[in-house]
Amino acid sequence: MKRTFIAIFMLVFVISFCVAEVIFLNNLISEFKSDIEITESFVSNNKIEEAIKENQKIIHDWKAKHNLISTFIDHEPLGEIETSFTIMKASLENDEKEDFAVESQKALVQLEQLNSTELPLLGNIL
Amino acid sequence: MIISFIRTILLYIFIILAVRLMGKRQISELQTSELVVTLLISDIAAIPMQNSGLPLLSGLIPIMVLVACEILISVIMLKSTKFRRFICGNPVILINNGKLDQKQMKNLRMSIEDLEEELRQMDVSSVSDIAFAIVETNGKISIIKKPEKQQPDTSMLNIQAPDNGIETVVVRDGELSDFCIKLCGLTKEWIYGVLKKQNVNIKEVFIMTANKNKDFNIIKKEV
Repeated sequence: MKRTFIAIFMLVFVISFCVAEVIFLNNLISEFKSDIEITESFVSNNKIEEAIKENQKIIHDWKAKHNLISTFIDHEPLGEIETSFTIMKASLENDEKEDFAVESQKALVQLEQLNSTELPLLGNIL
Repeated sequence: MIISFIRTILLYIFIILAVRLMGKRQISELQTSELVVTLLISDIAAIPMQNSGLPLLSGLIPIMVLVACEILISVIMLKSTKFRRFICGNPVILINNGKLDQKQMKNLRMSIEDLEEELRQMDVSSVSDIAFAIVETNGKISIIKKPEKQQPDTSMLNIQAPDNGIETVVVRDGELSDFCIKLCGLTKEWIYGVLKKQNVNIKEVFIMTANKNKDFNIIKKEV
């Protein structure tokens, strides 16, 4: 009977963990996507200083949450996203708006992919 | 490298706990579902152990799910015979009343050589000695010999066999085993008394066995 309770507890724990992970990741990615979009709007309005500050905030937030995310997400895509954020920063500092636009779009796509791969969709399951 | 080391230790502990949780059946004869779980666990554990780019949880979560499912399935199998039959299948009678069922052998894809090999391992020299042979759900073959080929037991021969109970190791490597002493109904005092009579210190004992009739055997340490 003790084993059955442990098994049920384990199953409930795993299901709760998986649901919490999807919700947490979804919220986190939405936050980063909106931050990137804010940075993009600063750049399009020629507010480079603000864009650099916003981008630094993105990098800082990403680094703060990286350790936690890497406990349940494959490390490779996380590294790619971090690289994109760094390139975005360098592009802004060198006033290369086109490069920034390309890299920010790339980062948005990578974030979206990261989110979609964790969703329990039929395509992902099969 | 240090990450691989720590991960291996963690997974090793986790798998031992998982197998322990699944119970003793898991380490003896495997039913279909148990075999599947055992194979899967070993494979799943190996992936995050070798690839440090994958989170450890990607190995731990599937193992937890497999262990939980295995325990829950075994509980349901205990409650429902139909479910048990669905998961484990039915035993198959290969030899019924001394008659070999060739159709069942074909179904099991078992040749007569395979059957003879199994029988030889059970000290049976000929198929004609067997009244019943049953392939159990775990794949093992159980046999019942024809009455004239069965070994007589003491009741058949009208002999009173001595009841010595179980012989257990009461002292191992100089240490008393409370469990074994209790199992054969002895006391620590009796063991110390025997050792004193034999002029042996308990620390010098490699193995001491005893049974409920107080028959004992002492093997001293060589070094």
